[in-house]
Amino acid sequence: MNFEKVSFAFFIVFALTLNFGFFIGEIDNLSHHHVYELFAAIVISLIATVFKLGDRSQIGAVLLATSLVADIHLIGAAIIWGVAEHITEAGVTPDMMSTIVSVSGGALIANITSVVLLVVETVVHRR
Amino acid sequence: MNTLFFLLLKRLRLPLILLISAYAIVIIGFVLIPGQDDQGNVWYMSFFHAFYFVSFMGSTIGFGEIPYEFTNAQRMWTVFSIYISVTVWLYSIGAVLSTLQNPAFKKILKENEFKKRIKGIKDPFYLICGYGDTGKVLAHELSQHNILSVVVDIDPERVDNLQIDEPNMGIPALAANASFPKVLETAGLTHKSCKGIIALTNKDEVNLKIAITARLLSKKRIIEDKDLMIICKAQSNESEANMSSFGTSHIINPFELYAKRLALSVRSPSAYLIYEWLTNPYHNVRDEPIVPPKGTWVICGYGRFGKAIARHLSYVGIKTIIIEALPEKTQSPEGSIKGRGTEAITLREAKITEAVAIVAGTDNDANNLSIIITAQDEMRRTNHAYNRNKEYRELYNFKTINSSSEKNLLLPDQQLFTIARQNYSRNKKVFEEAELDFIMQPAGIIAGEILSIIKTPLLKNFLLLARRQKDEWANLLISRISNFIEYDVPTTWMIEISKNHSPAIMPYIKKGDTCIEDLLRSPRNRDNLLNCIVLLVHRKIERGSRTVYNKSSDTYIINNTHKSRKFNDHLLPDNQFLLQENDQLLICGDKESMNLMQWTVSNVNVYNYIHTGSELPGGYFWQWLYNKKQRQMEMRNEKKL
Repeated sequence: MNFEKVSFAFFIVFALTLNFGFFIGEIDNLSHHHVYELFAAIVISLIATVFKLGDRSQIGAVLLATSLVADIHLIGAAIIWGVAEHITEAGVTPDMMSTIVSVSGGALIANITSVVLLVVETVVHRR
Repeated sequence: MNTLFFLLLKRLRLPLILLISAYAIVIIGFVLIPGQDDQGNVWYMSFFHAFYFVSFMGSTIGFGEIPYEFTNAQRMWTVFSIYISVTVWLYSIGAVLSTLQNPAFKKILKENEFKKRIKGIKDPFYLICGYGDTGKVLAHELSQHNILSVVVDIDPERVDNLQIDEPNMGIPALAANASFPKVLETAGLTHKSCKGIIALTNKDEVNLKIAITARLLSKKRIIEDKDLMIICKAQSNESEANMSSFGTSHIINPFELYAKRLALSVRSPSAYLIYEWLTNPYHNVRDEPIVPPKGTWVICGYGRFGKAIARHLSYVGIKTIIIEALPEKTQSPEGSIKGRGTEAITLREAKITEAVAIVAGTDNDANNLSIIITAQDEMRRTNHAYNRNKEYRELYNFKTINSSSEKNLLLPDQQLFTIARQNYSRNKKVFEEAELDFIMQPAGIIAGEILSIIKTPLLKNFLLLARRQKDEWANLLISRISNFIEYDVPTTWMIEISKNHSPAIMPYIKKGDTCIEDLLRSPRNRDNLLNCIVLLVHRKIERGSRTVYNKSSDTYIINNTHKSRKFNDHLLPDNQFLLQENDQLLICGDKESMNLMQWTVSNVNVYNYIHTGSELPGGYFWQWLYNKKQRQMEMRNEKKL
């Protein structure tokens, strides 16, 4: 048991679960996708990215890359949401919502890759 | 770069996480706390507004309460948020600064800069390991001759001093242990432009290790025939033998070298003067040869220096008396006198008054000076006693001398020849004041030798041949050189007949009528000759071809059979000596002649003037005009015929 390893895995898996929680539901249904969940997903994803900084191994580099991809997707989704709500006249329409959710879907794929890599590394180490 | 970046990121993990968490908590608070809009309705801040507000609040810019005035609950949360975010920001900035100030981080930063500079070097350079007394002199001399060097020293303080000593040249320096192969590799040992490595550390084992590393890491270059020059300082004969066993190009043992020169100056003062003229990097050389007296020499200190001096003096037939503080430990020969030599008693025991010269060769500068001064005092007292005796004798008309002690006092008024070893260059001033005949200065000797190896590698061949000549030969050469050197000391330089070094000569050399006289002509007026003489022509012989003797001049030829490549050395060739491609010339003369000759061999127009006596037209237009005129002349001539 190592606290660093626990927190590392915790944040990576947590980022995936939150992302999945936001993503799940009918794509254009506004009530299925809550803004708080997106916020939480962004914060946790950023923390997970920071945890991956400074790891010089090959797998560490790939983990960092996937995390950065997820960050970009999620922040992109948040920006779209902000623009839709505050700048466009119509506000968040079902069309907009489907765009936001599909962008966060990209982050979901990246997060899944992260978790898969994490599992692979754990299995390889077997200690 | 990578290491640096990752180190920075690793150190910034905690501050970054704290920042993200603090922002998350504060933003979520603003979103959850209900506020009021301008109509008094309940209004919830959106994430966008919350992020906007926290961004300018956290960085203490503060635009006010936007978009509507805050409720008390929001203000309370704002107070809490300000303290949280400002604290976290301060901590993060502090962490970044302390990382940048970290010695380890700084070291990596410096190393990275060093690596980048080494990679960017295009000119040939020499790698100097050890920036002590010798390294300092050498680096300075190399930079004076516009030769780039790279310095590695284990002591960071000395490396810092280098930036102060040589600010103009910008010598890249690294503070690291040169006995680690990785360090040498970083410093450019395997770099394409690295011409040679010079090991000058104080420890023979370190120098040995550097030499081995250099030899093994440059294996590839031997095959490519661009051999790395390895120069080592060695202080004992064992390490010297060890170094030479695996192909170190030059091993310099300052004690051995100095003893050899001293023996040469005893045997042939003129030859020694030539030697000094040609090898001395400092421009304070004397004009007249110093003649060390023949007789009994007293040597104080039988260490590495004393041993070398005693051995080489015995080769030229000079008797030595040794004074040594620890005769058993240093295995002094029988008849050695125990003592330091700084006391008058020891010197008297060694019969200093009967000796002609004293060598103060201990490893302590203060002791060396003390020995010399005590010996001179002792000498003065004897002379004084002699004079007084003479007066008495004249006064009382003594004619006969009975006791042997009185005989000693009847020696003529003579000066003691003094040689002292100066261990540290910082004591230079005192040694200069002591009015010594010779000062043995290891740093200067090594640096001068290495410089001549680098600058004029042919000098070694010349001196080797010169040492076999008679004293008259040396006298003749001295008079020839001093003929044209009035105010300046002679300089030596090399000219290579090749496309890169002397492009102007190449078109003429193929015709086969270029002789040494052409090079010696002055580019200002071809009827005058430059103030220089050619000491040596070094001619490589193609593998498989036969040696061709040049009968036109009286030349000495050496066939070097040890190396795969053969060469002939022609000592003092006459002015009609025909030059060939790839010949290397060693020339001695004044500085002005050197510059003029460099001009001659590199500028086609200048050389054409020297060779033919007429000026070549420069530029396409004038060349076209010149050719046209020539053709017209030919036509006219034909018509006349």
